Amino acid sequence: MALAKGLTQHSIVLCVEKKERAIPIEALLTKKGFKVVTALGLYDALRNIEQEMPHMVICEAILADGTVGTIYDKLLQNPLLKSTPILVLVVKKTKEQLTPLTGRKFAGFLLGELEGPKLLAKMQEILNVHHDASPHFVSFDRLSLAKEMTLATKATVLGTKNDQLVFKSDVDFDAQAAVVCVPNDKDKGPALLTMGSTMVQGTDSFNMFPISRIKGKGRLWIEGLPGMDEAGGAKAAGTDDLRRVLFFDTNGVRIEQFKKILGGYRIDIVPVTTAQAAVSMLQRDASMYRAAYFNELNAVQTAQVKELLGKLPPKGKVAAVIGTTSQNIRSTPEMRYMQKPFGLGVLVETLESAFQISGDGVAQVANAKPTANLEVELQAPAKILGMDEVGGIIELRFPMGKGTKIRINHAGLAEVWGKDTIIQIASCSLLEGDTYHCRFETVTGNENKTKYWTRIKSALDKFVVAEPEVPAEDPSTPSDPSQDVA
Amino acid sequence: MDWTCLLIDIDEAGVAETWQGLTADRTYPLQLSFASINEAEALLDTGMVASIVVFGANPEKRASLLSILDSYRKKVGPIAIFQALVAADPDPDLLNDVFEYGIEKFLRDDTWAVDLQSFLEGVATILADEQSSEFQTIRLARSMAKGDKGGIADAEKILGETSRYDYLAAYSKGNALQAIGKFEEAAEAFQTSGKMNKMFRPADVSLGENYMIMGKVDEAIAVFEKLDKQNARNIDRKANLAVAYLEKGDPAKANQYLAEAQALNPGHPRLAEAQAQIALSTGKINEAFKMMDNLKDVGPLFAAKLNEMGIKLSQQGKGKSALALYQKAHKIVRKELRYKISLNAALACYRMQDFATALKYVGRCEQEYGKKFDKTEKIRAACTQAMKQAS
Repeated sequence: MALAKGLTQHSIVLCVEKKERAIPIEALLTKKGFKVVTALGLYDALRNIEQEMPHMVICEAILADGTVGTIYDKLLQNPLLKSTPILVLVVKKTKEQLTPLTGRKFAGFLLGELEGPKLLAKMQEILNVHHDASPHFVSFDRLSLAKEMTLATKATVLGTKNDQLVFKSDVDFDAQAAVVCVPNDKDKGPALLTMGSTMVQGTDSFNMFPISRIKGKGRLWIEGLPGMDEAGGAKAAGTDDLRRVLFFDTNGVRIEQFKKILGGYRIDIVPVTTAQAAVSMLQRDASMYRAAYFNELNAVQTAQVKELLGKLPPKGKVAAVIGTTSQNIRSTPEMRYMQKPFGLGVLVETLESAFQISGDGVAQVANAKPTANLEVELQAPAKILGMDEVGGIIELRFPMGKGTKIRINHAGLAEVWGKDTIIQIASCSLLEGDTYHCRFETVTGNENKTKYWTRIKSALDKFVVAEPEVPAEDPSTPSDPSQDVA
Repeated sequence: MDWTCLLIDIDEAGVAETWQGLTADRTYPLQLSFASINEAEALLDTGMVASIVVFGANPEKRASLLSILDSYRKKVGPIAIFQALVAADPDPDLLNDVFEYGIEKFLRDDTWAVDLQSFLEGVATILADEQSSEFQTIRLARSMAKGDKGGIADAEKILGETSRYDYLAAYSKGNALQAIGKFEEAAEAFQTSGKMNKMFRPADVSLGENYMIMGKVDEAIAVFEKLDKQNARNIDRKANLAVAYLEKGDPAKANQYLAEAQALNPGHPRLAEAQAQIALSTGKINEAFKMMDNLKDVGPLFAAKLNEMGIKLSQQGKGKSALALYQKAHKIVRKELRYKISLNAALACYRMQDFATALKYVGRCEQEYGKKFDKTEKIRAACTQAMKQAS
């Protein structure tokens, strides 16, 4: 099964005799994105390995209260931990250090003075066997459980505002997401929502979806909703005369073409052909613009724009829209990315949404009197690919932000978990096309992973339909430590 | 049914040689088929094509691209979400030109084979539901292409419920109502569609055309001028505005829009249609007749004008001229609009007391409509009675 790259943060238990030897290794591995737990001595190592279920153990051959050989033997006795790869650090090629290694099958050895690049290369080689997943990962390909499921979150429809349907929810839906809105009131039909944007005011999140893009029977009740402006008397953002967009593109001809076209939608473009000039213009007087569009920004320019937008006063916010061909970029309420190439309608709708967020638009929505207060569930189809010691991996058609908490609707998994099926997204990466893989976590903090995984694994085992795939033996696994000489 | 997605290489960028290799390792839910620009028309006629993906970013080939999109609209239906373009960095004019058809799906030229898979999965899911507005829209387009009035009326009924909440269903219902001559109701349907999806230009275009047929020239001008601001490169719109301003009695404005259309593409068939219509409206009958020789698949607006002209001639006692006009008109209007011309030709013959020919036209009209209807029955009864009295 192909998984998106960079999805899994590998966890390492680093076992050393003396703390000072751990410090440089810990710093290096943390910098490279590993989760590192350092253990001093055998007892500490065994306790942490059981607690963490690490994807790899890096261990010095000799510890204060034992050897790596003892760790190997102890893990071998535990069915959940016996496959944990152990990379041994042999400080000196002495008999005392080599004896614990004989007759045991370690994943790798590094001899002599430790060098960062060699350590990383060796770790990569060992972890690559698991194809970017946890070594404990159980693929749903092997189970009789259905992969199909829905992600769901409770939300409240507040009403409509400037041709947008406004919700209050805990989830920041990406613009690429297609979400089904299912009202609790069964007399009201479902509606398919797309092109959402999110606004944040304090601890509250508000989702907006353009009504023009809504499909399904739910339109019948949505069209009957009174506007929040009418009820609350708040001034509608984006409906006044200021529909001016600072428009950055290095191609002046393109800007002129867009100027003519967007003029037909009452959107006034102020052209600018360098990013620096765009930033300067915003710095000089941001209140001139309702939104800013940037056609491709590099990392430095993005940081500049982000910093500048962050400094604008709450009532003078300017929403930024960035056209990009980059694949793994996530929108935020202030900076919304549009995957290029995009259609004209998408550009116009995105700018219209940006108008709502700009100025004091967020406060207007947050303070407007709700006209609907309709309880709904927002659902999105997804597939579960597999589970591991902290959660699992799901596949969906849009990216989800790190930290998003959302419920999984899947009868089989509810049985496996035996509790509330709320997950938290830990990472999300693009596989290809519009297919994203998200790693989620259900185990947090200091919860014991072995205890959790013992329970889950035994529940999953009931659904195993085929013999588990036995991974081919890694041909690079050395049996003789002298093969690896640092 | 095995639906096909047609890959059309308008840019002639060598897709014919590469597409099979690029798509070989993947499973697509629709059959993939490649077509050059010359083959595309014939393949769209097969009734198997549900989706098209066009390699057509080259501005010099824009007319060919738009011609293919026109054909898809007529032969498959006005379903924007089943159409995509392959272009790395489409220019704004291209975005705008294809948005006339509601199209806003673009695939990158380096990843199109990958992206096509999920695009077609979406298409296949919709097609699997025979009650979906897209499926019914395809059925309606086929009936319209065949001129099958019975099929059109059936589709209009099926789309009725969905059209309350689905912009495409409402738009298709409008097309069906327009084809069976219910212009007031068609205008309502187009209005509903446009309100539901304010970004869907085809609904506004059809509403404007419908207003023209209904003689609501000012309303039509308001719609067309708003659209002209959004896309000043659309020849259809310029032609419609030219005709509308002529109807309104403002030939200067009409000529201005005609000149603008001419500057965009002097050889465009819609321009020729507008010129013929203007010649007809200004009494230059012979000139109009000559122009009409080069027209085909003329839309409801000009068809309505021809009918109106014919009726006027017939009522003035110029039955032969009316029949000559009807003969010409019958050859050039779209299939689904021909029954009305036959009906008016029957009436013209009746007025001329040529009852036998009138009955022939009644027969042709019923054949084109797909069944008998009130008006043909009345003319038949009147002709039969008149023939009895004469004998």
